Amino acid sequence: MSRIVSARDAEWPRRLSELGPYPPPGRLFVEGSPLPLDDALVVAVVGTRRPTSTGLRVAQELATDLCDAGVVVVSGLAVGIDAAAHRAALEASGHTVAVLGCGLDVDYPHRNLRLKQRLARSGALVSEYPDGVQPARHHFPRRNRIIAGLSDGVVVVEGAITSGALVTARLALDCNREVFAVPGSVRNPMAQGPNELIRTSLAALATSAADILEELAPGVAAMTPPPTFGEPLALSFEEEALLRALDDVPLSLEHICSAAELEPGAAAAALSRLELRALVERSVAGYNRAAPRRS
Amino acid sequence: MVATSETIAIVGAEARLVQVEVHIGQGIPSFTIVGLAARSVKEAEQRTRAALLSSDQAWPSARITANLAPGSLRKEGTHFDLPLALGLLAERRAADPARLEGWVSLGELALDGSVRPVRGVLAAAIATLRAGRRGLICPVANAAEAALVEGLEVVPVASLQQCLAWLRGAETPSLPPPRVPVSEPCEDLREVRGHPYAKRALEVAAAGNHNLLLVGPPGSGKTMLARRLPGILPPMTRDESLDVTRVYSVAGLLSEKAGLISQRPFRSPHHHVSVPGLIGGGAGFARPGEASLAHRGVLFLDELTLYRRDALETLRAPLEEGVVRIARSGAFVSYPCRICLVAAMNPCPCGYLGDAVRACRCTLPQIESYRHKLSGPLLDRIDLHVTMGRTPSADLMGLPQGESSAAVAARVGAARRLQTLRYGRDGLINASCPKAMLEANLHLQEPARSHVGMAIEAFGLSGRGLDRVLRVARTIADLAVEEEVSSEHVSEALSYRRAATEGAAA
Repeated sequence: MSRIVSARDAEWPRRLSELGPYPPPGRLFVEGSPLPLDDALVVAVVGTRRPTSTGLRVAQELATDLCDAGVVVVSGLAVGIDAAAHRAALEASGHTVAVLGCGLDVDYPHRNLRLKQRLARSGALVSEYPDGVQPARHHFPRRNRIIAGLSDGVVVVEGAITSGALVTARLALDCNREVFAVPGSVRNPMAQGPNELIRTSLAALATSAADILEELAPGVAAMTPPPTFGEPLALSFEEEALLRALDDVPLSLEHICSAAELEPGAAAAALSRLELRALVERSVAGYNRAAPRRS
Repeated sequence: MVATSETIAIVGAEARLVQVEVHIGQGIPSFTIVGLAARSVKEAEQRTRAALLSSDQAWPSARITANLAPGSLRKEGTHFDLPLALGLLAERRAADPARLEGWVSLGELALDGSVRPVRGVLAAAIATLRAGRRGLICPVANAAEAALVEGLEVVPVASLQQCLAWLRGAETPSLPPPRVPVSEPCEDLREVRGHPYAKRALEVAAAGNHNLLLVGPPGSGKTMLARRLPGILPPMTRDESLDVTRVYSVAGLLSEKAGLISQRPFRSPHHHVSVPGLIGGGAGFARPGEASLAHRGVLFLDELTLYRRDALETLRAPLEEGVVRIARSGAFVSYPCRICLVAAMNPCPCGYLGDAVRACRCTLPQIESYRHKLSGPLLDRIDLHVTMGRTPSADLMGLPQGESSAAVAARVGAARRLQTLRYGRDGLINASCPKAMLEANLHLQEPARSHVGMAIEAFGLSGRGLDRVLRVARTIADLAVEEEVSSEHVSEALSYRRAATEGAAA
């Protein structure tokens, strides 16, 4: 069952009322554990609904590392980056809060139903909308201001230029919150948003949880060191050429074999060997580089 | 008294001999046809009566019974007119029954006594020869078709009177000159610039007769490639040509000008095609569908997701067995359907998922429901799944022309000859030969063997999936003219397997 939390309650974080130009929410419907108060360090991890596998892995690793450092992870329960962040936070037994754009009892997005149930038990669900209110287009920018309002900083992992994640980033700036962006490949349309935030100096570049913590809480050390790159792999000439031609976004094999200047048959054979070693991934859209695992 | 003449009934793509027994007895004048005759056959009474009278013959004012035996076989079509008339005349001794002995006849009669062309003459000619009959009396317009069967005597008749004259000893009317098969130049693979990988897959498809799915954004050249597949398949043998021509003859699609069909068919039914349209059937006579019209050629389904699901589902068994079986009341009609299926689809509803330039605008649920329109079992029967990219048109101009169809066809031909040598029988091919035969001919050595084992583990290949991969690997080895299937061949074959349905966005 959900409860109503307003500015009069002890559970109400004061920063929720400090939204710069935006009106603070009058009351919130909350389910699960209490909202993180002002002394807690809170970071929102937001991004696209259509991430690449690298984006997903980055979101997941960020959330894990932030939770390990005792940070509360906030996101919007959307499919893609949001869900990956919530999931990783739950796995790391951290505190995580999902802010919805509909009533708490509305099954949206349906794909994340199980995740939502887990969040109600081990995290918190928050909404400005009473039960029964269906999601609507204009709810999401309003929802995003609450995500920004609950947090000390917002990290954008992947998002197109027109993405809602960028809306959240701008809202966060207006509310005087720190904004971070994880850079990506210039050929990845989903990295255009964060890259643009960095280019225009609206966001600080973040490659790991350590970068974020250093900015937000210089005293708190990240538990996990920044990513290192493992031993070089034993690869054939073709395999190396192919890995260089691959990207985070799936490309058709035709594209790849012309970039790697290989015969199609040989390229196909080499790619399937790389796939067998989990270095590339194959989908209907083509081949993409598998996100490197942390050693 | 009873007189008999012989004709045929069309059952699927085959013809079966049918005895026409005519009895003229006392009683109220009438004409009755028995023996599971359809309406089109029963109408023969009116046409035959008028044709006989127009040909200066008397119509007996008696109780006439015609029996079409075997009585259990369903009979359809208008070609029973001529044998009925001949049986009647033989009974009346207007024609010599002994002279008619051993001749099979068919033809539709016009009211003025002339003989009209009918469908299924080629099938009739083949059946006549197989049964060891003396020859075939057929409409002059169908004579060239009948003459395609070597070693069969054909009597072309233009009218009932001419037929009677021949039965009374006149010379056999001369056959029209044989038709030169028209061969339209097939589009050449050379015209397709770029797409090295899709071309490679097309070559593998042709060499082992594997079904192919092309996935790519609009304008990536899926249709262009598919249209060029018949051009790299080996030319049809005479027997294959006859086989194909027979189906078209039964369907009534053999135009009078074209004789033997010598080019592999390419059929691309529109996605609104109905179930009977695609696999055959329909009211009355069970017509061959597009799948059978593509027999020994290519069936191209563009925009695969737009086809009716039930129509696609019915393709499953024919793809496996090479035969379409249509249930009719009392019997199964079967048509051959040994095809190479080429299907094309966009990767997502907007078409640009995975495109290098244009971003996809679809949501995840949209992409999923788009993919879910295709059933897994159908996709499992497609051996080669290929994702095509869109080449920017500026780059297109700079690309050199590709290999010609002739060069690719030469390699395909060599690979096919290896398969014929190996399986000992013409027509057996990697994609469809019995499993045991394939396994006996894989010659998998280490490290290819352990490579397959690793792939089963890593990719979760099912039994069927593994079988398809090994078949493709065998074809790739055949193209390389190698006895043993190597690790390299297995690797390439694995790259064509069915991709996970999930896109990049998990």
